[in-house]
Amino acid sequence: MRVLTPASFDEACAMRAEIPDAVPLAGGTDLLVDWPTRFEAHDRTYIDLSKLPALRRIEWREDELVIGAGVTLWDVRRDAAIERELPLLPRAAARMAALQIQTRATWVGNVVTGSALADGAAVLLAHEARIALAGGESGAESIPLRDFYGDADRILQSKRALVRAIRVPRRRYSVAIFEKVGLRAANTRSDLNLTALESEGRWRIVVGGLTPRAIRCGNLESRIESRRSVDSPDDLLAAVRRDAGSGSEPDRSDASRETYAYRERALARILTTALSETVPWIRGNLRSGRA
Amino acid sequence: MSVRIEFRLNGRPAAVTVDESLRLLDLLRDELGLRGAKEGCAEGRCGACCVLLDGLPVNACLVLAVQVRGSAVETIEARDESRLQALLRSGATQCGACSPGVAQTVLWIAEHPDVAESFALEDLLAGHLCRCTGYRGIVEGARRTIEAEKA
Repeated sequence: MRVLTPASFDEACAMRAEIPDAVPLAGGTDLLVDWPTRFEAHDRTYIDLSKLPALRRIEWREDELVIGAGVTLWDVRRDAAIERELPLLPRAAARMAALQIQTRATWVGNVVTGSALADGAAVLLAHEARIALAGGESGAESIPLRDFYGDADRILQSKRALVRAIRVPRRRYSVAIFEKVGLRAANTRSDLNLTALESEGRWRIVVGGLTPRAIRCGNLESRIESRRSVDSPDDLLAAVRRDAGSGSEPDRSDASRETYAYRERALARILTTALSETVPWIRGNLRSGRA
Repeated sequence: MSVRIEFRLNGRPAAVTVDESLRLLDLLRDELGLRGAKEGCAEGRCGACCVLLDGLPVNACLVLAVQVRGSAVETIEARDESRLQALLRSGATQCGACSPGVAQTVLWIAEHPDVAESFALEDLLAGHLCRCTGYRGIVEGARRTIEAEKA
């Protein structure tokens, strides 16, 4: 095993170009899980990005927030400006992991890992974030997270690039919901997660845990934007089923922590609870006993 | 491969040669004889291996030793035992496996009043699993420790 320690991000990019299969390493909170028994991981070359100050920056631009590749969950939780303007990011960070992991785990790491249950990736998908790449043959470029998430390894290797930052559009959200179902309040993988944002009548909803990758729920968004009566949780769930089916085949395996049926029931519950608490007309349905 | 790293350990300079696959937890316990940080789950869920890295609590099982090059590491061995009295009196410890990690986090919170004021204590302690106490003693001990440090 080799751990390369670049002195700058440019040097890290040069290392990546020279050794395309070198693994970028920052917080290491995913990489080092069960490390003593994962011998195959000990034979690789890593590029340690954790000491590069340039990647630890949080920057506000006119139309976006830029989260550097070394910015941790804790950095975002402690940032008063983010708390004011994009409060779902710190709120989700609090549920993604406990303090000792928040201080090491990066947002980019969560996205690159890209599991169906990566809470941070789901939240950023709902914010319609973009991924800023650097290095490689094409130089600096920015791609939508939806095109990057779940395919990060292949994209980064084929481009011989590194992630420099995540770019999050600035919007005022009147509804911002993040819910997860798991064995603990934090520091546990979600069985399911739900992110829902509403800005100027436009909804952005992402569900993680029902499918091999978290999905943007366009049918559910349209269903809510239509303001048609929600008579039962199944009304919403039917839309989610169309969203899950339109992408990849739903994971109906019982081998995961909980069954698909359990997760679907849990989603119906958190959807109706969360939305009825924040959306007056859905709450009205509930009061009249229609949902 | 083995590499030489220099860092600060409990306030003093340290220089060691480590295999690049070695975890910080193994460096502390096996190479340097600092056994306060415990190996519990090896996956960052239990908090028994909590140490401070550059002033922040981390799980030493999830950090490579080479990553502390140039950094400051503080382990429970550097802590003044007198500051742990409130935890002991509150029944925050029983078998003791989780206690060094819990104590590290509690003292860190006590040293950062802004953190203590901004976040719920239960939230800040959520990274520690205890199989004995039922947590009430830990939370109460943490409250008392923070109060004592304020005074």
